[in-house]
Amino acid sequence: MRIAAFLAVVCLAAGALAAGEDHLLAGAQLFRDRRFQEAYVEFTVAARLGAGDDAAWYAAATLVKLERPEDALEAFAAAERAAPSIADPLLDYYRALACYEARLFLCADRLLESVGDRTGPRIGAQARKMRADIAALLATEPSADSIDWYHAHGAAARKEGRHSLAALYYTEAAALSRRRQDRHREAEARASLAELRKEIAP
Amino acid sequence: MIASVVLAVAAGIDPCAPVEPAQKQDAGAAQAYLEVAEQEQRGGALDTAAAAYRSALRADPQNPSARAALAALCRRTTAGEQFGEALRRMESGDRRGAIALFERIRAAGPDPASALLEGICRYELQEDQEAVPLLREAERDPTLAPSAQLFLGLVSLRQGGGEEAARSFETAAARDPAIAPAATSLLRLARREGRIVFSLLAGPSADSNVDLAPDGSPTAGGSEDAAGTVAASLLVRPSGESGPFARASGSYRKLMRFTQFDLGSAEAAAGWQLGREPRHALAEYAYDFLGLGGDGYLSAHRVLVEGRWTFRHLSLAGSYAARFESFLTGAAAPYSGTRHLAELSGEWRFAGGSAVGLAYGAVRDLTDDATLTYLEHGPRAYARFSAGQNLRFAFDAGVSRRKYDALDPAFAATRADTYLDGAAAAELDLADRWTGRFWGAWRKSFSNVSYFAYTELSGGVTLTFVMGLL
Repeated sequence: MRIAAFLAVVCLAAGALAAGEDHLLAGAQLFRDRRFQEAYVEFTVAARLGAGDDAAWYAAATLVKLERPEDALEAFAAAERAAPSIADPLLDYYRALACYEARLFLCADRLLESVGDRTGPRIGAQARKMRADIAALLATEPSADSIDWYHAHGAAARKEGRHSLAALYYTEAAALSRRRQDRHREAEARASLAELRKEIAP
Repeated sequence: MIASVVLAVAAGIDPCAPVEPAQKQDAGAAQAYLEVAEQEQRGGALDTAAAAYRSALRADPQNPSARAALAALCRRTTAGEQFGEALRRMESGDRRGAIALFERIRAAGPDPASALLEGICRYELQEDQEAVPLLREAERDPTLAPSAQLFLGLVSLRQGGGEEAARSFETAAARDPAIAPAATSLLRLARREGRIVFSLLAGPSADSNVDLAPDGSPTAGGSEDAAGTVAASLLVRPSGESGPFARASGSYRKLMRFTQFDLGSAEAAAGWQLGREPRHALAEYAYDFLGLGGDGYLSAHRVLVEGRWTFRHLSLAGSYAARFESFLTGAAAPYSGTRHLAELSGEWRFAGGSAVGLAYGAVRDLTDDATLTYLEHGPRAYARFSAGQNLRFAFDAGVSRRKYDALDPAFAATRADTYLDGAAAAELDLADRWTGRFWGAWRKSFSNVSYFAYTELSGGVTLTFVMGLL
């Protein structure tokens, strides 16, 4: 909703639509109408037609609405690489939702912490509730099985060439390992992250 | 939890709905839409792919790629809806309805998932001949192969092909850890099934009141004894469970005290079973020979008919047997005659082989000596439970009343007995072909002739080896 309002203001203020910006506007309107598949298509086309770096961020947020958290996390990572300055608390909130849905609870918590009340009272309250849920989920020492789960998902994502996503899973695995006395597979997670960085590096 | 945050899920895009052209055509935008559509379709996101194809077609109504792709998606969606409906029908037990829809989907092109599910429906309807090619078709899809192999194994098992079934279960278990427990359990069963089944049994037992008379009457002075028993049997059924069969078996019971009552038995039987265990009719002829203490004791011909009908969890059965008995020793000769045995039973079957049931049985023994002729009848309740894959328990309890037809001059009474019976057994699969059985039984007999009132306790352990061939 806020994305749509923001876009409308920006575009109307500009007075004229640059290449692809009509698609950006259409995407915002469709997002407002909760037609998320079409909104995602419009945002993606806008990005392809050079409507600006923010289109990729909005496309990523729309993927959260489409309940595609892993795709969203990959899209957020790509958008961040292209235009890190675009990120704002609302987009961080959507990114946190994607982390939460992908069971990356520490990732979600980190993002929600920065969201605070900067997005308004309603989302602020939802962010606080999510943080409370996450705190309850992480109150006990993580099991070795759960850490193994993150390693497995990291390996699967890496195999599919989804390196950003794989890095998120390994980061979560390493952070959870540190919450155990035996630091179950922490070194392995760190090694995987190091290898991923090498693979990602240009 | 998260549902309160993500407020709504987007509605699906209908790829079959008509597309209205945009007021202004834009080939460049159409191309961008098309690229997004193809990327989404490759990723398996068909809803967004459909949305993008529709936008491409709106921007360029003549775009052949968008038109063709949307038409394909439309066909796929229609098939998907039919698949969902077929699945719903299958789950509700409407297998015929599900088969009709699966066939419609498959008529539009190969669909391994529909082939698998139609094959399962056919298997459940006992249409094995139709099921096999469908399951073979599904088997070619690597993701469906383990499930298809599991059901191919079940078909083989039902047809008596133990070895073939075992191979299918082994492959299925190795390829999919999710179905490995079920496949391993079936593998054990398969190794004990086949067109030829050979079994051996041996074990000790103890009885406070060993049957020393043909009608089970006790012997003065008590007859508690321990025994060791060995038995072997061979079953041949060339067409599997449904079809003709022949059986031969023999056993020998060696008593510790009453060695003159050491019992050897041999049986040969042949018959025909129509249908499989859940729904079948069977007719059998058997010849029994018993030797007691090294001498011939009983020669008997028996005919048996039985039927079972199962619908979902309910299974009803009835049986009747007539045994034409000729006792070969002077003391037992008066017991010669014809014994009629009948039973009706109904049971409720649960998943995993557990069941509870009630039965009513009757025996009419028409002996040559009228004083030994009796009618016995009564109900019994039984239950069997599977506790895991390797352990089973069985319980049986009954009451029966036996009334003799004529006055027995020796006791100056017309004998009438009542029996209370209870039995329990535990079976443990020790290996694929080996089973240990621990059993105990109790009988309390009440009689108007005090001589025939007694309590009997018995129990034992047996080790069984069963091997299915072919």
